[in-house]
Amino acid sequence: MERAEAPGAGAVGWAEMPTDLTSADYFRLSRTLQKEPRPDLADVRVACLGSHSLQFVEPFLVVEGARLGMRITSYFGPFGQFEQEIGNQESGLNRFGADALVLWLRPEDVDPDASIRFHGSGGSRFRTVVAESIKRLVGCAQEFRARSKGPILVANFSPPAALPLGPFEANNRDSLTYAIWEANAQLRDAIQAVPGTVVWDYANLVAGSGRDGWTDPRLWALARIAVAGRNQPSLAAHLARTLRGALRAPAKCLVFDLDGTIWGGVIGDDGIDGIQLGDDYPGSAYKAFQRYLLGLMDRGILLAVASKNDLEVVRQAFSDHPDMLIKWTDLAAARINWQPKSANLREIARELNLGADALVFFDDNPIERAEVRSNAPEVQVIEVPGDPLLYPTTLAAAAHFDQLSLTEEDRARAVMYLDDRRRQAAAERAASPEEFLQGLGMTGRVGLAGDGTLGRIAQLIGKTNQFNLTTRRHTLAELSDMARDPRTVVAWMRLADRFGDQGLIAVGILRKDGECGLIDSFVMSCRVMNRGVEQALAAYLCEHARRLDCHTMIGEYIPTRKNAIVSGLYAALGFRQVDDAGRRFELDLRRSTVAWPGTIRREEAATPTPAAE
Amino acid sequence: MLNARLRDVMAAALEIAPERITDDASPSTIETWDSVQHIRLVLALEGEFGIRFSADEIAELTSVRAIEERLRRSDGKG
Repeated sequence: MERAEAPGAGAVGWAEMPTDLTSADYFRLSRTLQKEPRPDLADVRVACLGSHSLQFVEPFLVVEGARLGMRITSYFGPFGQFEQEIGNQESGLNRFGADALVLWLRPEDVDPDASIRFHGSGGSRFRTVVAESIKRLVGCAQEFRARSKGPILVANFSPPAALPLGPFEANNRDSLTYAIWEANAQLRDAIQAVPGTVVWDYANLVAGSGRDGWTDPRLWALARIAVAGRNQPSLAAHLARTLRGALRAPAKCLVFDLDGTIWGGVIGDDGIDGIQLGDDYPGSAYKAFQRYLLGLMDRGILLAVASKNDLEVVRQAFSDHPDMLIKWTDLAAARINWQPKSANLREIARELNLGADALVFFDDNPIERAEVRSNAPEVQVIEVPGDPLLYPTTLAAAAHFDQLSLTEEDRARAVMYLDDRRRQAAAERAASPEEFLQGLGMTGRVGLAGDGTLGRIAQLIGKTNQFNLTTRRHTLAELSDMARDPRTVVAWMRLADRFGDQGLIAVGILRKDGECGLIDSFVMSCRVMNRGVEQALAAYLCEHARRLDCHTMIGEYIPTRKNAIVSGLYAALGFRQVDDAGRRFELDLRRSTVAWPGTIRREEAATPTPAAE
Repeated sequence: MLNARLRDVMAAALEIAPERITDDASPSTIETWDSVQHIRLVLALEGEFGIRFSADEIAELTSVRAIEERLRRSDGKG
């Protein structure tokens, strides 16, 4: 009976849950969520330690977490007890068993005079408190990391509502404002020492919401709660989104519509001169959205189009309209026809070698969105507002494309897909597959994981679904440990050819177990399928296995819904199947090995020095 | 008679069944009514009834009777 009160829970998809909930709604929903099994949500256990009372956020965090697909169970340590909670084996935190840790230390809680009487010491007291606080935070992160591989979120520092110099803070280089900006840069740099640790950008959360009224002096005075009740939902939403970003790989491709989405009007009816796109409103709204989409492309997100239109008319708009910012060649794929959009989305996923769940769909037409939701439910569909001026903020507010850090591959991805199209054209011209491969002039560079490659390796292991033999999702922290372990080989391969550099596209992890070399993970980007990369990487792993005195190479295949394409890989590489299920394969290294393919010129990177402890 | 709206908000904030919110309920009879939950309750009341309590009032509203009394006073003013 109590459950019936809860609006939405169970009945409505969480993503479509209303946003204007009262505090009482949050409490009811949170209780319902904690009671009922929710197989649609991923369980996440979060421990939070703060220099002030954090527990208040719990029901808000449960609800905002659910919106992002997580069922959050949380633990809140007594405020101010960082080292005690982390260091003591018997502490609440260590008994809780967290998947993720949140550290939130505010310098003003440690020493109120340091910020309020900032100029009393010329700022030196504040800088000292900050330096000590950062040291404590890094120490806590290291200690937690020794026991857990889960992500660690460290809140950065936000200026207080009352700034010592009022409106003239920014005029003074020695003001609290600049000291805090510098402190945040130092914090960011310092936590790089602990793999899997990320900044929780509290400073930008507060700035975005507005510093005035962020804190409720009554709650602070009575209960040491640092954030006003009305701001708890945005606090929780921001924390949940950061957590999600630390735990989940971002979506890879945005598929958008054309009419009413990247220009106003209907091109088939209005013609090139009739659509709204330009520097004056309403055309400016669509032009601004195009610019935003290109910004997504710049950080590695693929752009694709699914539109019910005439291809010829559309192609002409792309090439001839003077205000089209997005060029036809910016698109990784396009489906312009009269098919249902769900079918087009599946085709786009197949063409780009992506799972449908890596696609995000943006369409102004609610009927198309509903069609995709019901016929391609894996695709993530954005709820698009009626006003095109709101398109960019709507996409920015969606968490789908959140990425912790930009790798070199991310920035170059759009160019790589262009290279792919040229490669495809070359393949069609070549007389035979062999001639095509020879003509590519491939160079494969192999090496062992080090500081410069671990980020990309973790990314590849985290998001590759198809060409992935075991789908073991090792975290950055785990990979960093493996790379240092003398009995484990974390190998990578980069590929370049005459059309361009493909970046780091394959990873293999070999673990010595007695006389056997076990291939723990074997992952390759589907972009480089059928080029011999798998053979090259396997050859490199065999060499390492021999160097480690392994007699037998063992390959495993763990089937998932998506990796059927690699079920025959080990057999093709000359391994012998040793079980009935086709999951275990062996290669006797005393008699044979895997040979490096003749079509790829080999380069080897210098062995990286192990990361400093 | 206890107002049904008040009872529902209190039950949600204190995470208990509405029947347990009796006229003489207080932190000594309801174990979930601790200091954190008290702040949750006060904020839920502020939202539901459109009032704002002072810090002193928040500290004193630690029984159903005190809360009812306070709500009645702002009703009269409104």
